[in-house]
Amino acid sequence: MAEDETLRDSGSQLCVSCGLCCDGALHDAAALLPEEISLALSLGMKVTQSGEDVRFSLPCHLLKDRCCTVYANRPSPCRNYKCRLLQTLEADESSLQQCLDKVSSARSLLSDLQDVLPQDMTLPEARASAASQPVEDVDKLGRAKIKLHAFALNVYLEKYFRNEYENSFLQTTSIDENNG
Amino acid sequence: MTLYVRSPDAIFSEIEGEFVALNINKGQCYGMDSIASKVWSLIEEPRSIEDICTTLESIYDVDPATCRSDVESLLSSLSKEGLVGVQ
Repeated sequence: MAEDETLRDSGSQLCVSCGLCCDGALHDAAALLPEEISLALSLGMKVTQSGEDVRFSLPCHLLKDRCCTVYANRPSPCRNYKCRLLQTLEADESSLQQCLDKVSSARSLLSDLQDVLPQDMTLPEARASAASQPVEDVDKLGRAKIKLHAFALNVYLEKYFRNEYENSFLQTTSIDENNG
Repeated sequence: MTLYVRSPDAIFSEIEGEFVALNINKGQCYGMDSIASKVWSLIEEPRSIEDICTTLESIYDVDPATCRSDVESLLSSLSKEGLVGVQ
């Protein structure tokens, strides 16, 4: 029991130091259960529906200082989601400090990206920009920097945070010593 | 002697010792493995293939012929993608 509580505490400490699953760094949107639509709307979430597929858009405006402001009342995807990093912590495959170091590295890459984003551009919008067609002549360098830093962040998130079943948003082409 | 150096049109970011790079005119991102990243570090300043291979052979367990062939192939790829220029 005590060990379970320690694990929960470590997990909580990791999550409140991170917030990447809520701020749009990891995902564009999160799936909702149909019965949660009214809850999500009452919380001011932007809800989209396509057939039976219901989602709310990220970044979540209810995240403040990496903490959920409606934690006790949050929808099920927020309760149930566990990134790969949290799972490695809970499985005792990584220490809390190792996980916090990875969050710090991801946040550093995120900061590099945010430094080159136009004001008000969200992370999902930055990803969409990075995945779009070749850099145009208009502000070529600015767009190239967004693309580079979005890719760099994505590489790191793919490696340590996203689960295998989750979408990979951006693809890099590999260059190694054997691909001449 | 041909010297290889990073293109002035290339921008890059480092992730745990490995690089992602992009030519601003082409807009395609490339991820480099550890050895390609080592070469990328070396060509911050103009370097000959001989110079690059000497350094790599001092780090990795590789025979000179294989090393040269691999480095030539890598530099060819980087040049083709506009990430490396020659002097």
